[in-house]
Amino acid sequence: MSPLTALAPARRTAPRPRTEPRPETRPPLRLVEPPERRSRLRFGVVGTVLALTMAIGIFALAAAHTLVVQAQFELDRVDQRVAERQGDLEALRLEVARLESPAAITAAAGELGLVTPPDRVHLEPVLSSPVAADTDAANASSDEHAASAGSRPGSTAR
Amino acid sequence: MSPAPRSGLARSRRRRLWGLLLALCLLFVGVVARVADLQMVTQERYIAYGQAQRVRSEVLPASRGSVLDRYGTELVLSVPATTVWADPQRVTDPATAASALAPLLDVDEPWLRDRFSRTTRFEYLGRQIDEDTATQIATLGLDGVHLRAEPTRVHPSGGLARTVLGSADIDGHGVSGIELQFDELLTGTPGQVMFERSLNGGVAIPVGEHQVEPPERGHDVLLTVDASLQHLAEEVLAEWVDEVGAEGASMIVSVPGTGEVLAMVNLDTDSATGEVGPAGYNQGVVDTFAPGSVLKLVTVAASLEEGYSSPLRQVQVPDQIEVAGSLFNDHTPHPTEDWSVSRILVDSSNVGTIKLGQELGPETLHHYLESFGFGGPTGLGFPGESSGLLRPVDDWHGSDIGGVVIGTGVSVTAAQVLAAYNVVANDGVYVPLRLVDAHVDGAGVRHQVPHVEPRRVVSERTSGQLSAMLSEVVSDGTGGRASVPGYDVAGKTGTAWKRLEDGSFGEEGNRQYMATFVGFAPAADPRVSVIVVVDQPRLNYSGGAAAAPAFSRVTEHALRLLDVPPHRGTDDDDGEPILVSVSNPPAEHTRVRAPVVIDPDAGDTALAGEPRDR
Repeated sequence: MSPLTALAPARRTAPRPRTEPRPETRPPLRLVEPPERRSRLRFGVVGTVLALTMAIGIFALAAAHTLVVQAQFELDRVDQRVAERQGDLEALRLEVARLESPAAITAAAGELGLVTPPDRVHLEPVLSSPVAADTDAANASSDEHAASAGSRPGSTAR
Repeated sequence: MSPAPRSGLARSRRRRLWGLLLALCLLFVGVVARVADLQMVTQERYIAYGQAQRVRSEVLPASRGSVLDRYGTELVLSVPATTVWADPQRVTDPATAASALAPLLDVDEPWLRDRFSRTTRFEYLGRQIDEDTATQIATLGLDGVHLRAEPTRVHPSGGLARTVLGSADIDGHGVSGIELQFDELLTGTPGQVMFERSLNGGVAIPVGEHQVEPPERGHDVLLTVDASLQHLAEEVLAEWVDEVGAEGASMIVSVPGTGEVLAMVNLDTDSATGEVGPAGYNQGVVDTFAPGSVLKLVTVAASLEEGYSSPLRQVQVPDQIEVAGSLFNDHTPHPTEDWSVSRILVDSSNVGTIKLGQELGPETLHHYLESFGFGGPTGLGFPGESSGLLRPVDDWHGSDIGGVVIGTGVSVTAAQVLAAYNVVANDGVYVPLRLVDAHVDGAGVRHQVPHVEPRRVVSERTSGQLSAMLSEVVSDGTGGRASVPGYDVAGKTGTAWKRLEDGSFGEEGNRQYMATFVGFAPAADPRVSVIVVVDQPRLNYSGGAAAAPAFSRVTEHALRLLDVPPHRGTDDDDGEPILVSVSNPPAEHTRVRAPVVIDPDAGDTALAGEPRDR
């Protein structure tokens, strides 16, 4: 007999005629140790950590998403500015092309009072320049060379 | 309760349960089959369907390349513009929209209301409008009215070289001129932007799918044309056409050594107003005409090259000659005389040239005409370019040889004649004309346009002899008015009947003429060659009077722009050359009579035909 059985109050029942002996069907009772509080606590901590991690993860994801959206907006703004600058560039290209056109240059020259000269005057090198002869004896020694040295200092009026 | 009914009820319940189970199974199988269909069999279709609902694709138009002159001045370019279009199904208030847009787009309100009433989903309201107008329309915020970028073509130099540049239609496709010839290169590759949008407003979702395929700009085309010279040539020729009362005129300026075309002018006189303006097309390359005496060069060249003649060979020249029953005359009567071959060309004798041609025979003449570039393309590749008409020698009959040698039996273009005279300027080498130098891709890489290789036509000796004769044409012959002060000019006049609309040359008294002068300068070292063809000059129809002066004016400008120094001193009023001496301070002009020697290398650092930095 288990200790619990021994502690149970005695039942008072009317005596019955016993027909046959009652089979013993109940399992033997035993003492069960109470569950440990530590394991339940561990489960709670793990669950809390997981929940917190998940919450933080969601917040992080949301934050990252927000940053991406902000960056996308910034990118769109930059794209818009690039497009505007590109438009400005094209407009300036057109302006340059218009100003560089011969008709525009001719008109501008006319406004400044410039005219096409009726005659052409060519300034040509002088073969017997004393300045040239004094400057470079080596060159002066060769008339042919002197004649061809149109860019020599003193040989051409500027 | 009896057992029998209970058993029947149980069986009935069981059957219903089995039926329900079967139905559920079938339903499950159906769902599984549908899921399999969606996920594995027709998933592409549904993906596409979903994308079509949320992903929007827009074409990014490619900017058409520019056309630039030899120094990089843009003659045609594309600039951003905006096109306004409407989705009539989404225009909520057509009347208000029409009244708001009409003044901005400069169209009538009824026209706009008609557009808004259509059942289509796309209607153009205004194309390639300026940015200011586009901004005003955008601020209106009209439902169903949209804007999109669409570049427009601009000619910043106005009408400069329009017949050469041609035009592109509003959709950016070349329809004539260089725009057509290089349409494939000029046209860029459109790009595409794909983005996810909200279903209701169509607004782009910032973090949605976003793919950009940028457009590729078309290539820039670099011409050999000098915009400054083109402008000058247009002005000079327009003044001249007005002066001689001509129907029109064409002019081509080239660099003989490279075949580069520096200017190409085509003008017409408006019959209603009498104003001279750009022709509708590039007549110098497309139109053919009977060249007249300028073609005599080929016969004389062939005679010299084949050894039949030398410049001083004497030929008996009457003032008329009969060829197969047709009578050919010289332009002025003269007794039968012995003329040198040189004089035959200088005085432009029809009879003398025909006699030289008869010695050569049709086959040899035909060979030389082909060698000088007649009857074939010049190498320009210009849209609509004509090869002229040089009949096969088998089709020459009777007096044809007489007509061919004096330039009435063939049809040529001005470009062909200029290329033929460039042979003489190039020591006997034919250099095909070039109008386009290169094209530059979007990355800035320059691609040289391939061109036909030069070929020798006549020997250097023959070329030198011809050059001397052509110089004499200007100094002592029919081309005196083509002279340019300070330079030796070589060239030839040409006067020919113009073919009338009925195909004939008309009768004496109502004939129309084409006056031509073609030549080059300086004769000893040609840097520029020019042809002028004047259509129906009224005052004086000879090439020497109606075309040579225009040649002189333009050649003078061209030589100045090309920094070509004069080969002899410039004559002032006293006929004396002006030299400058620095030995007499302050610098004064000292007039001396002395041969002037100028080193071309020292005085002219930029070679003609090569781009110079500005």
